[in-house]
Amino acid sequence: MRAAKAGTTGIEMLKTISWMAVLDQGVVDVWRIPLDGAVERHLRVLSAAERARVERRCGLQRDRFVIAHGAMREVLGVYLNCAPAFVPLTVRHGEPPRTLGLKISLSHSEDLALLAVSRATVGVDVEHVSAAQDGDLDEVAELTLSPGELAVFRGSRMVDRPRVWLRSWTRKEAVVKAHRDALAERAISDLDVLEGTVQHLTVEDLDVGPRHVAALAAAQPPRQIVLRAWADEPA
Amino acid sequence: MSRREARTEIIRALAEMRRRDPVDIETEALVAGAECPYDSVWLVKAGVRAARRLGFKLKPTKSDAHAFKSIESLASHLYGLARNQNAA
Repeated sequence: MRAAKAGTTGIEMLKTISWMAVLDQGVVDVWRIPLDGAVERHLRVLSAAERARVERRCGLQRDRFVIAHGAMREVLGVYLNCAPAFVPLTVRHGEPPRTLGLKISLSHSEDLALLAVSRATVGVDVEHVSAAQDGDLDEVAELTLSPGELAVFRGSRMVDRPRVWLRSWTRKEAVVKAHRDALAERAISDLDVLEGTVQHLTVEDLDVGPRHVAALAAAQPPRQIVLRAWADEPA
Repeated sequence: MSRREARTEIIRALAEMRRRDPVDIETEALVAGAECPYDSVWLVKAGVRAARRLGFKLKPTKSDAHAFKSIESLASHLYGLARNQNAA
């Protein structure tokens, strides 16, 4: 293990060594975070900025936001060897979260969040299948899928179409999250994600259960994608 | 078409698709402001439906990504698109 570069403070060096020990080059950890359970203990570890965002939500959406961000701090604390409340984390609306030395991507849909952690640029997206099960899916598909993707969509059984569309959608979202310039000003339908490599990113579908569809995009072909389960502690 | 009309159509579409009362959606949108508790999939679908009702097509681009983050940003986006299409 290499020491941190000269001039690095003791705390930063400790964090760097800890992170390097846990996460190998070429490995992407994807944490599966169920968004149920105790809320208050997670609320306590959030930053003032995160709490301000909590206040702009209500009910179940508020609770799920708190658990997702509290769990993210808990997971990152393991890599960075610090308490969740002290994880140096910048979370702004509409931007990917940023932390020290790691590349991360967070996505949540209904009762599940996914957190991807890597040493290289990474993007993850998860969607609940119910989101695509009604309402204008054929029209939405025409406006968002490439000709090749649309042929696959139209060739699939009606009952399978929501998942087929979500498979393309989550792959596109993962690519755009990892590489925000992937589309420039082009239409989303111009981004064809049928292949495993898109815009120099490796794209993989993730099996996260029957109720969700998820995909990961990684800047360097990952040697290994490890799907990890995060479990809440009893309150 | 005004921005308010675009916003009303988005809320109407979301309420229909989520089988919710539009008043509840309106309340959530007011509390959330620039943030929205809805997944991008719901906003894309609502945007497509609202645009159709307002008389044009929404073909999402990367620069629209920010528009699918909240009801407010989507309303501004639809309003801008409609204005540009009318001007063209």
